[in-house]
Amino acid sequence: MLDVDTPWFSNLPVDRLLKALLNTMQSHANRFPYVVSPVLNVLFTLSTINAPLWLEVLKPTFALHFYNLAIGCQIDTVREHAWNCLRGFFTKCSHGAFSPSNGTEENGSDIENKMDIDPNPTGVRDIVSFLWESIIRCLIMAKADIPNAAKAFETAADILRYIYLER
Amino acid sequence: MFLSEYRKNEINNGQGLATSPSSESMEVEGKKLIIARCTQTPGPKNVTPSLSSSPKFRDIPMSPETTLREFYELLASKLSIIRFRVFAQGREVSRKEADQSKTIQEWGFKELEGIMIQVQERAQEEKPAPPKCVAETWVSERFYKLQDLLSAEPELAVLTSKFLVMQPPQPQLVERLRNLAIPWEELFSTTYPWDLYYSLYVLQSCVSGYKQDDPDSQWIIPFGEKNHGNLVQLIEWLSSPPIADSIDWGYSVSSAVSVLDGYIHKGLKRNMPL
Repeated sequence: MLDVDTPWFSNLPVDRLLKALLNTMQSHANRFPYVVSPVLNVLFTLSTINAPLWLEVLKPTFALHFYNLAIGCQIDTVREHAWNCLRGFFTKCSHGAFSPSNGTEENGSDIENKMDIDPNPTGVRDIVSFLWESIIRCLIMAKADIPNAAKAFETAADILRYIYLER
Repeated sequence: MFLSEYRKNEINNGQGLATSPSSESMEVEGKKLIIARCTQTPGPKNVTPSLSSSPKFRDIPMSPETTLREFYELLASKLSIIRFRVFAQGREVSRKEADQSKTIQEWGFKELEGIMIQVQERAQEEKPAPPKCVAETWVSERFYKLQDLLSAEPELAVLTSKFLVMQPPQPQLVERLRNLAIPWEELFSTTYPWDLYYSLYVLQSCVSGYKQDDPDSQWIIPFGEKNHGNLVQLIEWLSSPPIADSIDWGYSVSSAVSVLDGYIHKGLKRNMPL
């Protein structure tokens, strides 16, 4: 799914870092638009270290935290960054979970240069399901913030179209 | 640098490059210098690789039980270069994590008699430094005084920080960051938010350079190896109450997470189209 060639990446404490990033989403991301992309990028990438643990930590609260950023926030750029990150990660996961090669691109020796830390396909599919559920939960909650939900519906429609085309 | 050092060594040992059939150099990929070194000796061989014939590698302890990770680390520590790729018997020595614990023997090298190292060096090292403008020189000469203001009263610290982040990263601070002997706590304050923010701003700039393969920013690699734990701790601390509720410290969260993001997303494609 993702090839990270930073050698110490797999040593990162997933649990602690996820909790810190969720706290950051809650406390800072609404005030500092530029923190949204790096926080979500790191948060999503941590799934490649330990997908089950990642899901365990995120399942209870991620959708609500994400909603507060991606629909509840009044700053356009925050919502934009949030949905773009989610869409990017969803696409990468979908390639890994459902493509015939499970996302492994044949690219000569470059593959050997990077650490292979992909979670197994089942783990990636669980992530894809979780992301889709989170999106749906956000859309359901969006009834309260319809004026801010355009990007949410647009992204969800893109993803849904992608899923149907892939089937 | 590597080439000239290597040539010096060869000449000192009475074996000029021109007479060495086993060495060649070539230039590829634009500015990047690649040195290929292949050594093949006839007859029965010890497992000790031919690299050991070079003075630089003479003290590398290598055996069939040496793992690929150790092999890479040994080369990295001896060559003092930015990055390299190693090929043996026509195969690239893999850095894939699953293979890292394999020994040289398990990896399938009969011996390490044929080794080619591709070296990418500081291509811009010999380029003259771009001339500094008057304003930059002015700031640079007064940097330590300005840095002191970052730990002054908040209003002054904010103004100083806003001024400094409009300038290129100050070389004095970059040098301190590069010096791995300086403890993390001395570089990244948990007392003065604007001092911390400026240090993180400089680090973030250097990580951006590293992401763009700037040769001058490659020190970021050992820095990350040494300090990633500290970086995680800093993010945890910044995201915990009551620090998380403070606007002043909030700017640092953004930089700290961006630094981590820069490290782990180097070379990765960001958003694939749906």
